[in-house]
Amino acid sequence: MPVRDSIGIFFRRPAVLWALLFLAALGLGVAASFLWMPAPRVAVIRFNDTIWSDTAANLEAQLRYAEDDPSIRAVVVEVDSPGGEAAASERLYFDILRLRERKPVVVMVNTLAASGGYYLASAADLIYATPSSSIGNIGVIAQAPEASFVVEEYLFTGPFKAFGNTRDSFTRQMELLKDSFLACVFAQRGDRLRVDADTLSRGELYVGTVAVQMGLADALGARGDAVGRAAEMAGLARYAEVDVAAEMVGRGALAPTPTPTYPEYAYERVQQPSWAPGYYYLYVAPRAGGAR
Amino acid sequence: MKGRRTLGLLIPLLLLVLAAVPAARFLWYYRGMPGPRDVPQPDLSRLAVPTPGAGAYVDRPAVGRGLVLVDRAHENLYSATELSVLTARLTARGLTVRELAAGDDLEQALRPASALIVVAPGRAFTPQEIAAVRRFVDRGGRALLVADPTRYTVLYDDYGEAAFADTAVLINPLATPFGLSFEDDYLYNVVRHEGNYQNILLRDFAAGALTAGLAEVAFYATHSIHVAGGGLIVADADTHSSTDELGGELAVAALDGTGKVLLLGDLTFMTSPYAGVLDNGRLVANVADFLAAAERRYGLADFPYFFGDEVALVPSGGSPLGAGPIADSGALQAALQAADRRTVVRAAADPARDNLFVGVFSDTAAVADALEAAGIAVQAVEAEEGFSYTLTISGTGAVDGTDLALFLLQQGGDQTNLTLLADRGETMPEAVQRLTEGNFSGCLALSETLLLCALGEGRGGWDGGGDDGGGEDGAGDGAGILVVSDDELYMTTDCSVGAYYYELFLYADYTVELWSVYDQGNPTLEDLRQHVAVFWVAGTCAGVVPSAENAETLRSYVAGGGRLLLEGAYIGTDWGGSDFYTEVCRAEYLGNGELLDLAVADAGHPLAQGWAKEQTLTLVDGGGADQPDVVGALAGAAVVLARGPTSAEPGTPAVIAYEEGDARVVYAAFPLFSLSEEDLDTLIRNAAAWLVD
Repeated sequence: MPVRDSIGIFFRRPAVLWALLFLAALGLGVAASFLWMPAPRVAVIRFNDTIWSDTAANLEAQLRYAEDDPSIRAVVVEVDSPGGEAAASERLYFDILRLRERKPVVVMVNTLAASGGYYLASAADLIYATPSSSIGNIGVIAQAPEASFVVEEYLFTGPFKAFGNTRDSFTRQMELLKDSFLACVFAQRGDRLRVDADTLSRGELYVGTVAVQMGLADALGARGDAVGRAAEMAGLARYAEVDVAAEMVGRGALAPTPTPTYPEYAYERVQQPSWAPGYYYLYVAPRAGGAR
Repeated sequence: MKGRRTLGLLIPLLLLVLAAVPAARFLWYYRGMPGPRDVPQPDLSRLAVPTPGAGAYVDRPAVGRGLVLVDRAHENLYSATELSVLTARLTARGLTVRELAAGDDLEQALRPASALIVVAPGRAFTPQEIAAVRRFVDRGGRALLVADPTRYTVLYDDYGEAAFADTAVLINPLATPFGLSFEDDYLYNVVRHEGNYQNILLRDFAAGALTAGLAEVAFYATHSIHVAGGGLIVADADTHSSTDELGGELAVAALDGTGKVLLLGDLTFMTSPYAGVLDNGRLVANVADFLAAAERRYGLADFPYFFGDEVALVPSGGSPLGAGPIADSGALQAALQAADRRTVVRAAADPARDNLFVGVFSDTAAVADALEAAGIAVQAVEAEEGFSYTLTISGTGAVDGTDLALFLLQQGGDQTNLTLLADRGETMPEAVQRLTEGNFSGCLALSETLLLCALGEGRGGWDGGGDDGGGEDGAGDGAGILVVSDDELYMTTDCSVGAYYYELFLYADYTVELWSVYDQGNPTLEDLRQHVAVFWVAGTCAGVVPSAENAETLRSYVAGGGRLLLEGAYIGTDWGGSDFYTEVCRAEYLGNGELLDLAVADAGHPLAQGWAKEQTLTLVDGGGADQPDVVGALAGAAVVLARGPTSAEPGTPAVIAYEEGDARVVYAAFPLFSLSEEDLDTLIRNAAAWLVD
């Protein structure tokens, strides 16, 4: 009997046929599960910087990556920031809200989540903090615009075309931003807050232990706790951690940037002469031994 | 048939296999299916920009007159436009607003003024200026002192290190003599405010003209004011101080006990546009009314500002005017015109104008009524060559009128009259010069409005003091005391308050001259000798001691019979063992130690009058100096006050006194300023009485 006939007879045997079909089904199932159900990962995104447009863009790119990657089922954002530009801080707040609609987001505060840093942190599902971290400083600081003037050489089409608004109006709108900040915090923290808006308006910084007692944060812990809780919220039994920035840099999706460490940003990037007139959710750390 | 049945069995099996892998994978990785995610969105649509309540005050002022002096001489940290709302209100009330420019003499500038405004000084006031302001207020002038926590200046410490300080530090030496002071803070209210937490709303007003018609005002960053007995405008319970976060009953506007000194913790509320918010405009108008209501009592040194717009110059004597009287009258007329007073010359008193009588003792007919009203009689006494004159003054007695001039100021109703009489025409020019210059040094002040001045070289002065004619001399009989402030540092203020306070206690009873070493340099031996006694203050600021030059001057002064009170915390530290320390202080330096209290060691000594034996005097502010000198008394020196029981080295001397020949010396080895106000008053008065005796 020729070999071809033998093979044909073999495959014509029902048992063999069914075995092959079984294997094919098994393979198809494996392939499909790997394709549509990748091994879940918990993304870790670190943000150790002041919130300027460029640093915010970097963080936004990582948040977007985490949002789009189906293997990333939960996100932990490690925040160490004194805040920064108001608009950039608000952008990050809404970015995290959007991410939260798809995946749990947990913030871990190691050292500082002040002002805009807390603004974005408050958008998370949960906030973990170390006992000695500094949290809060809700409010706005600003460098007021120049008093308006009129000169022959410069022509404007309106009284505030050149200056935006009066100093008084600028101040009053700053108050609106503070109220907006508070509203955003209260919208997310809700009943968890055990402190009223008037108290938060004072702009105080609280150590992590107190922040948890006040409901500004949810629990004391370290990064592992935050990652574990994020995974739990995502219903993960087994998962891998992924450093989003490193992965993105490895794939050429993100330019490598040096990561400043506290208090470098407080003393070098947060110097008033570098500010443009405008509003900031920023904690300006006083220099040791400095004047009032 | 069988194949179809097998197929029907195996296909589901294959599908099961197909699904089992993902299911197994899911079960491997997941604990379950996460539920739908509910993410709350903030609702910002109802937030609104806070807007101020607009005031609707229309100013309808009563028109008066007066001069308001606005300080611009102390690097004040505000622009002229910031005060324009207030100055407009002042001018609407008929007041003249004049600026005190850098380099101007404050005391001279205050002569014509009815009110003084000091806003956010960036430079310290000298002890002389502080004393001048107090005297100004004593004489009915009104003062508005405004600080603002948003106004900073740079001060330097002993080592040249710069530090920010707000203007409260610099303005407080003007305020503290009146029992008021600005706190170095700002107030805030996070519960209810005017657009920002530091813009506080105020509804709690004490009754009075300054708060009339006010329902609510807003202050835009304000200091609180320390005032005993309640403030004029007080913040609510939700308003807190930045320094201690205490809330409630924080005053932001306050009047002193006499109602003549007003402190405001904020400048911004009276600037545009904030003067238009709520009742701020009315408050600014009330402040203007307050300043316009000054009833300034003028002394003779204030010539010619106590006169109205028109003055009748009345040369006495029925005979035609000669060259001398015309020259004298011309000088007076020029002085009046320089002060914007129109003059007319009349032969007799003009009932429709203020009058300035000028004449000699030989012809007092035109001023007979004025002299009689003042209890003064002029009697001619026949002498070898013509007549001499004796003045009999009610309550004083007879005074030889030779080489004498009399100045008498009488104010009543709407008329002010000044009588100037000299013993003869030859001495009149000097009398006129004294009047026009406001220089009554060496004159006998029988009251604020009656002076006798010796003229020419025929007489010496009544004393060695430099009274300006305004002092109410009493127990000290006009004896001149020089208070030397030797502890001022560059652009700092606290250091001058010691000297100032001593002057404050002495002012009522003695002719006192303040000398600022910082401003005036070291006084010479002659400067010291021109006074009956010298109070040398080196104790308010730690670390300041007399310089070598000053130590030598003091040594010579005491060796020549001088009367000296010398105080300082570290004089022994620097000068211990020196001839100066041995000869002047009569003390030996033993070391340094904490000083918290004192014990009366010699209750029988004149310096301890008013204290009981072994009475303990507790020092305020921890003694005011860190580890001041521990000293011993040398032979011949009495220990009046010793270190108290809770101090280091209790029982060792703290205040030493001795006399040798004409010399009398009091040496305090600590800052006297750290005594309680009552004890300081006691010691200063006792020391003055003993030294001047």
